[in-house]
Amino acid sequence: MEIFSDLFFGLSVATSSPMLLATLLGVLLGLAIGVLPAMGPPAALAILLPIVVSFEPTVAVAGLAGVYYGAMYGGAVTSILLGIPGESAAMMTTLDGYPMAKNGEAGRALGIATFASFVGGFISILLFTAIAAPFAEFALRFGPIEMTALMVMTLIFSTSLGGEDRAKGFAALGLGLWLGTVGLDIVSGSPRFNFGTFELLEGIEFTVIAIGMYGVGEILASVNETAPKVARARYTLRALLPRISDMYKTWKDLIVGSVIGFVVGVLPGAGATAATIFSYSFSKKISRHPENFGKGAPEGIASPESANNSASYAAMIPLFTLGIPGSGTTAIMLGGLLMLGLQPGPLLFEQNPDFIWPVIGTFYTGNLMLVVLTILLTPILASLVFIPAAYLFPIVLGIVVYGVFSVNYSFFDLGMAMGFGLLGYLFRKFSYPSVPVLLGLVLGPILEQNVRRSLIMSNGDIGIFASSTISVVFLLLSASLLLLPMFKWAKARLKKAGV
Amino acid sequence: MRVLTAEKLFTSLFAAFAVFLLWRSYDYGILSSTITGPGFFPAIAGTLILVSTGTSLFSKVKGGESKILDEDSAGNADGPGTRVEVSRVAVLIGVTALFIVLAPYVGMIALTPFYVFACFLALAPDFRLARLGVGGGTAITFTLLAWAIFDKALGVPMPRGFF
Repeated sequence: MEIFSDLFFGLSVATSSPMLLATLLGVLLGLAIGVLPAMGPPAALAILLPIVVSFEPTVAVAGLAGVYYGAMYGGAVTSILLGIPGESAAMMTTLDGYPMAKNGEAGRALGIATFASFVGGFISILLFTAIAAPFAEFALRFGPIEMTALMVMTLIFSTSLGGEDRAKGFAALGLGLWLGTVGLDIVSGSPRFNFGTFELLEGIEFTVIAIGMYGVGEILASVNETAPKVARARYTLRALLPRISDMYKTWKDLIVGSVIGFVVGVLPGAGATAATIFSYSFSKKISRHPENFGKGAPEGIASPESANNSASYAAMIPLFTLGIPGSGTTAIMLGGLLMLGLQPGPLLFEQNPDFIWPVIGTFYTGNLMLVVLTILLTPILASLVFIPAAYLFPIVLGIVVYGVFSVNYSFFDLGMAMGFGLLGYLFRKFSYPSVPVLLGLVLGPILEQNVRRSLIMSNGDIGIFASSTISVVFLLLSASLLLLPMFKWAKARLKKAGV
Repeated sequence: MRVLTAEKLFTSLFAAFAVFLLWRSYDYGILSSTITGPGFFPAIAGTLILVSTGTSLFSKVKGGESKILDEDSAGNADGPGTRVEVSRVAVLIGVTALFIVLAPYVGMIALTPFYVFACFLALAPDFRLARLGVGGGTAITFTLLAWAIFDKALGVPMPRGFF
């Protein structure tokens, strides 16, 4: 029953004034970010990093996490009212939310989305609370061999599942892994790829790359975007309140969405968007009236909305318990944790309970805040999408300039951030995913350390990675994911040849 | 410029960069007897990039130019080939570069309203007085907020320049 006392402690800290304020600011910003189509949670978190690192770690992480899960709530607002998903994870909500709004039921659709988001979030937080600590305890058995295999699996899963073109994904991953090697070599201490400059001896600052690739890259790629020219659906504030009849009608879909969202969210690379697609398809399959899906079915909103919120909390389990991020957003959060002097991983629960339990506590308070805020702020949130890029982007670029400079008080870093911004822009234009770059950058140095440590232990014998059952399982899973397309290709060729 | 041509060029440059990485890794030392050297991991990264970009290029060449993305009637593709977009991106990068060069001399806070206003003009080159007024107001408001947050609240030591 230690878990209850830990949780009680976490909730008591999470309800203190600074923590409530940090959570409130985080979720407010998250709601706004979720609405704006040109800016996603990774970009927002990257831009915020230099500012929040000056705060106390628990307060900083409460705010950052608030932005992440707040964005999942906000995405539904524009999906339903305008038919424009603010976030990719809100894409499936558009299918039934917008038709409902066009039928004059915008308020009801928003009410269902808010309630589903709350339920999905709540179930996921409960599972997080129950699973995270035992999971971390199990992970304590992992040595350098298991950690190497786990990181290899995470990188392969994230890269293979996270984008359309695997070749481009792996090229991006290679770039991230290389960026992680810039600076002094961890074993020999000799400089690598510093090109004779003093500034690169300590490596490239994580924030510089994250802000460049995500913050600046996203702005540059959206310079031609204009405010949507669509009619906004009408609703009353009273209609936003969730109805008992809708709760009863959608209870099965809420559970389906929450569970699928949690399972998919824990997996590296799959993410909240995949969770919503699986959940929507499953709900349609088990529905008595699948023909109503896509035409304004309440179940079509409840299922994906509960899934995306559930997935956003679940994605933080591997981050906090293993120190392994599975997405771009959690990679940036990991970068933030490292900047705050915290080492996420199995020992975090043992060595920093005064950090982790209050953060979990803020998930509960944040989830509650979001219900109230979404209902109250929906009219304002729906207006945000009409802010012209010409007003918004210069302000964001200004924040980027000040944010990057404030990390090391260096104009060199600022130049680097703009360079990475240009690279991020080209990546978007040529359909190269940015997430593997960040994952490679964050996990690369730890992976290199573990690989080299293992090889030193075995006198260079790579057979050491097959000496542990856990490691073998992880490596076999990775290999199967890598080889699956080849098997499919060979099967198709054989079928074509009539064999 | 057609998207796929530009994409092939970008991918080829990426591949060339991978060759550079492999060459430097060899210089750093990949293996000495059974001990991995500083070039070991960069060599893995370089190989990964080279194989992946090679695969990508091969599939593009094999697939031909049949998949031109969103090309309009004027032959403009929805890539960085659209002139307006490229010019806006270039101006934003150029203005920021100018800011980086001038800020140590002019002062960061003093330069900020001009920077924000220049970005505003780059994104919406509309010279009607009302629009310019809104842009100017946004620039000044942001500068005041940046000064309050970064200079006063967070105590970031910003270059003051001549001021």
